[in-house]
Order: sequence, then C-alpha cells, then structure tokens
Amino acid sequence: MTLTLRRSLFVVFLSLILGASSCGDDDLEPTLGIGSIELSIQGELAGDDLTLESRTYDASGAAEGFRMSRLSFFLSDLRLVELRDGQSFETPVADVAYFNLGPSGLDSEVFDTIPSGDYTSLRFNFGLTEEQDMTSPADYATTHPLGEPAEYWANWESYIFAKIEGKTDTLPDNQERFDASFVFHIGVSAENARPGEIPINLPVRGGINELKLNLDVAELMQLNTANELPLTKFIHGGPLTEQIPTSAVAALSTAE
Amino acid sequence: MRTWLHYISLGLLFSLVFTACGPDDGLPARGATIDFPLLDLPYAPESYTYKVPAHFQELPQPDSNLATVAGVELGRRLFYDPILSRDSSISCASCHFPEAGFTDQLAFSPGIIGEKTLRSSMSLINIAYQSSYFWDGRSATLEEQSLHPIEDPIEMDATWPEIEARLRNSSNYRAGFRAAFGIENSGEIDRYLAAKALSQFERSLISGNSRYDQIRFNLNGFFTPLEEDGFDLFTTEPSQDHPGCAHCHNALMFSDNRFLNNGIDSTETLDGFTDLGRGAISGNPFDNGKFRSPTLRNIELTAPYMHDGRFATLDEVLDHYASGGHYSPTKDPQITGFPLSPYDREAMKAFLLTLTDTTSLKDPALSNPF
Repeated sequence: MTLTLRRSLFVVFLSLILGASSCGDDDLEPTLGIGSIELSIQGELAGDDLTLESRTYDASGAAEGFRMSRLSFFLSDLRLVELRDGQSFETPVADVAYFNLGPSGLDSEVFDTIPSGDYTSLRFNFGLTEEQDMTSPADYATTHPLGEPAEYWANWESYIFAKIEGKTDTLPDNQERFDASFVFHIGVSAENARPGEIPINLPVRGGINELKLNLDVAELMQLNTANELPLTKFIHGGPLTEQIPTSAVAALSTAE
Repeated sequence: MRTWLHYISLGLLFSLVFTACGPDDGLPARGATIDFPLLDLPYAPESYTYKVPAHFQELPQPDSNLATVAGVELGRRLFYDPILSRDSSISCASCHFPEAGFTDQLAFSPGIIGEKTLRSSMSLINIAYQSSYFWDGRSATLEEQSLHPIEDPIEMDATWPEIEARLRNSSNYRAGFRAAFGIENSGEIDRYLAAKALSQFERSLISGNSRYDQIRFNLNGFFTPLEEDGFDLFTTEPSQDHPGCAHCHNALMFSDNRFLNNGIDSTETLDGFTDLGRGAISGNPFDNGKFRSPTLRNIELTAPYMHDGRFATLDEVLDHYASGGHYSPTKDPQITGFPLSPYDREAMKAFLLTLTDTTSLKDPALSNPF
C-alpha cells in the first residue's frame, strides 16, 4: 500500500468518524431558542375541577348550597425565575394577563418569546400594579387585557382586579332554588394587589410549553372559615373582600 | 297550419314582452348578469379616518377590511338602499334609522311583508366596539352579521345571488364597488364585498359627544344636582341602597359586551324561557334566557326596551330592576333589587338622559344619501 493510498484511507476514516460523531444525541434535541408557554389555570373545588353555573356545592352556615357563576381576575408582572450558579434570574413573561374561567373552570393564555431555560418559579401579582391601575381601557386596543371595559370601574377610575360571583340557596327546603347571590368585586386600589411566587419545574427548549396551575376556590373564598358567603346577598366590601387578594395568592399552585 | 302559425306568433309575442321587461339600462332580467369590465372606472383608494372621540379606545377594524373613503360611502349607500330587500321595499335603515338612535323604536320590526321580527332592533351606535353581534351574539364579526338580514325570511327575504345580480347590473354600484375595492370586473361584486362595505359604514356610527362625554371628558359644563345624584346611583359601588347599573352598563360604551339574564322572565326550569337567547347559540342550557347587555347611549331615543321591547318607558325599566326581577335558574347574581325613592327615580332618569348624543345622529355623513 503506497503512502498516498494510506493517507487517503486515513482521511476517509477520519471523515467517517467525524461524520458519525456529528450525528450524536445533541442533534436529536430541539434547537435551543425562543419558545412559548401556555399558562392554564384550572379552578378546583370540592376535590374536582370547578364547574360554573351547573354544579351545586355545599356551603357552610345556613345555606343549602351555592353555585359559582363567574371567576375572573388579572395577574400582572409575570416573571419566570431561573437559578444559575446559585443566583436567580428573572425573565419577563407578560405585563398583564386576564383569566376568565369558562364553564369547566379553565382558562389559558399563551405567552411568546420565552428564552430557553430551566425555570423554577413563577412570580406575579394578583391584581394590577399601581401604574397599570392608573390607566384606563381607552389607553389600550380592545384586544389588550386592559382594554376590556367590563373590568374597569369608570367612576373610580380603577380596574376591578377580580370578579367572583355566584348564587346561594338560602332556603332550607331541600329544593335547589337559588334565591340569593354573592358578588365579590375586588380592586379599586392597587393596594389590593398581592405579590405571589409559585414553585414550578419548567424546562423551556423552544416550542410550546405547558404550565398548569390550579386555583383552589375554597382557599380563595375562605369557605372553610368564613361565614359570609351563605349569609350575605351582595358583597362589595367587608372582611372577605379584603381577604381575597391574599388568599388568591395562596390558592394558586402548580398542578399535580 | 293555422295552429302552427298561431303558436309561432304567440312565441314571438312572449319573447318581445319578456325582453321589454328588463332593467332600465337594457340589461338582462333579474338573476342574469353580464360581466362588465371595470378597469376604466376610477380606483384611487384613500384611507378613511373614523371620527373617534379622544376619550374612546382606538376603533377596532379587521386588517382584512380597513376602511376607505369609497368603502364607507359605498356602505352608506347600501345601508340606506332598499335594493337589498326582495321587493326593494325596505333597507337596513328601515329598522335602524338615525333619529331613533339607529333603532326603529318598535318592540318588533316589520319585514317586507309586514311579518314581525322576533326581537327588537338593536342600536347600531358604537357597534364597532362590540365583540359579537345580535342580541344572542351569534355573529362573531360585523362582516358576518351584515350577511344575515338580507336572507332572513322575516326581514328582507332576498337571496344573495339575486342581490349580487342586482348590484352587478347597476352602473352606480359597479362604480362604487370598483372605487371601494379595486375590482376589475362586475362579476367580482359579491355578498362578501357588500358586507365589507356595510361594515365599514356601520363602524362610522360613533357616538361620544353626549352631555355625559362633554362633562366627564371634555370638562365642558357640569351635571345638575339631580343628574349628579343619578350618576352616583348609577355608578356607585352597589349596596342595598345603590342600583349599581354600571356593573353591566359600564362606561364608556355603557355595556359590558356580556350576555346576562336580567330577570325579565319567570321560570323555575332551564328550558322554561320563551326565548332561549344566548343558550340557543351556545347550546349551554345555563345560557338560556341570557341576552346582550345593550349600550345605554342614546337610551332616550331607543324605547321600547329589552330584547322584546316589553318596557315602553324608562320608568318601567327602573321598576323592573328595583324589584329584583323574576326568579329563573340563570338570573344574574347582580340583579338583586334596590329601594327606589321618587327622587332616586327622577335622578336616575336625569342621568340617563345625559347619554343622548344628537350630534352624531344628525351628522350628514351618516344620513341617507338618496
């Protein structure tokens, strides 16, 4: 075998090795880059997914039961947190997001341009920041979360951070007849916003990534301790209304 | 032989009669069209700027139907032209005319043969800001909504192929569609372009210059003490003493774009409503009895009230809400009743009348061009 031939065979052999090594596992993984997250929030009550309108839930106190009609709220200043070398780094997700749970107690929003990373928690405010609360729907397009006029209380020039509405059966007659209602509308002031942080395990490597949270409605409405719900027909103030922003933060958790 | 000649004569006679019955411009009879080239007609699109008050949101319009001057003008002509009804007897404006706040002030509207619609005609004021259309929200876009009344057998009872033929055969409309959309031949005139033009015009029906707007946003003038008290009752956070109407009739549009059961029907069961409303569209029985919360702008001009026009006056409306409404399984939790003193009643009415804006209703650009 001549030297030239041996050199040629070596080059071919080397090329084959290099070619094979370039086909390693790394190439099978998605390209690192920008992804999206779909943040879904599922209301839960009585050990099951929340059902609006049609399901009757047990109530404490004098009422025979209650039904939920509406549960909507703003989250603001959403950030993903990543730990690197013992330090936490925040990635902005959205200035504001509006969730209005549907009949099965679920709503979701998609947020784009999320960099790759291994995110370990989600930080947010329940409610709006002071700066956001000083704006009005007229400042936004109708498609923007804050462009929704139904969530703005015009005469107080403030957003309604959350709406929790339902009906109560107060008559002890063993009939499902909902003769009373409860309406909690929280907001009016940015002081009612509450910061929260939820531990998550969310690796993002491009693509669409699901982040599922649960909202414990019993915790949100303090159903295990408060007696306001079954006895009060119409609520826009009072201890429970003031408590809800804090309890909302505690009520949110990562889905199992 | 004589019989044969007789038939030939009759045939010639019928042919002459039918050819003489064509449109004035000598075009074929209805349903038939000639495809006219339109390239010689002017097409110089100029973007239309809607007259949106400074305190309103930017007017939403779909990218697929951005308004032009010619498009809005074409839409105006179509809106007021009875050509869109089967017998050319009624137009969109027959049920939505300016003096009535773009309603017809009737509980139910008569169609071309006098048969009544099933619901009251809605105000078209600020319709661009709605997120769905009709009392039950069955159309997601204004463009889609515009298609329906033409073929509704109770309303205009036409067919779109017939209307398309009429429009293609009209030299005025050929020029109008060419100017609005740049089409190259008359065969391109169709229901979808007509709906686009109608929608462009309807988005121009903007009202934001009422006394309320002047006082609240232009700082021009003051409420009277009675109006001010009515405003407080209307908007103050509800309790047992305040109606809190603004929860559903929220500024700036005085509607929240939602579907609600405001307690006007009494039934113990989900299927006991005379009109299922939103439920008939969504298929969700818990939407039964729910209807769009309409705008209260120009409410002074838009009686009778509710989807079936059952209340003739604002007093009747206030009495209803003060009573807390009738029981039904889907009644909204916010309808709970409130005390209504004679003074409160007058104050509420005084405030509601500040929502009247006749300037937009008298705007020549929104009026009948014929």
